[in-house]
Amino acid sequence: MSLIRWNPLHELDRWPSDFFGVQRDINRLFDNFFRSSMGSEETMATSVYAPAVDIAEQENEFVVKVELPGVAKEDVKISLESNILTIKGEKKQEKEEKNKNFHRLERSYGSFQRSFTLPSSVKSEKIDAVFTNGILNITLPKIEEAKPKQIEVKVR
Amino acid sequence: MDTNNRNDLERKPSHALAKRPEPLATLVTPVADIYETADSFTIRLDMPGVSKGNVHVMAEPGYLVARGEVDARVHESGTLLFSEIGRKRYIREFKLGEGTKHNEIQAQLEDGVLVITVPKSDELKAREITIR
Repeated sequence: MSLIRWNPLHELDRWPSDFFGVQRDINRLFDNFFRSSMGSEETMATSVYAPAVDIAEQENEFVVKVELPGVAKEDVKISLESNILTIKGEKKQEKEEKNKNFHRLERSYGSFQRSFTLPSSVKSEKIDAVFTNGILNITLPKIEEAKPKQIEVKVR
Repeated sequence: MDTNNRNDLERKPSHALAKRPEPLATLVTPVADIYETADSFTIRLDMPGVSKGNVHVMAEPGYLVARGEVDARVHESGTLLFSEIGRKRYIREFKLGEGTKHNEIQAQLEDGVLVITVPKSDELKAREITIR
């Protein structure tokens, strides 16, 4: 074994500049703890995880971004049903697991799902989605009535 | 379930950050899968939002560091209604043991995943011994 094990405690030295990272590391420690106490790899594979999301409102549209590194676009499904936007899919592990000796397995695999309630002011037929560098960008244009309008009021 | 809890914990501070005029980038340790094959080690790091120009892998004897910065265009203008991604910089260091060829390391970016291949030196490779 030539790579030396990464020691998460070493990362604690970065406090406080790496606050979020530390928090994640601590979570990971617990994750690993529970995983190893529960044992089977199956619990890992079948658990549903929730990817991180940003939602921004712009003048003419809503933009939803979902972090999905390593997910093939064929494995993502986006649906809109009575104003509930659902992004779901599966992150598949590479097929050729033979002759591979894993030293660390931290990335999540398996199903993911997130749902959001949208305001009714979205053109559902004009929703567009693009995958760039592991981030799914969903653009939801607003209907005309929902766009901000300038109303001039004449002062008499 | 852990993921949800984690997001709840982080939602508050990232909201606060999102409201600043120039938010600070959070330093994130990207999660990694590391596996070994007959002639190399492979490290896969999740770095969503990083493009080819914003990722750097540096190796010297005994040490490897991977850095990445999320593209500015990932952050949309407009009002953030929900913010979990935020501004991030990824960094992770690895110690390379003896028997790895640090000057033949290869790296590529595949859909937000940085894949680094560290070849083994001949001494480290498993070898079949012929029976005489």
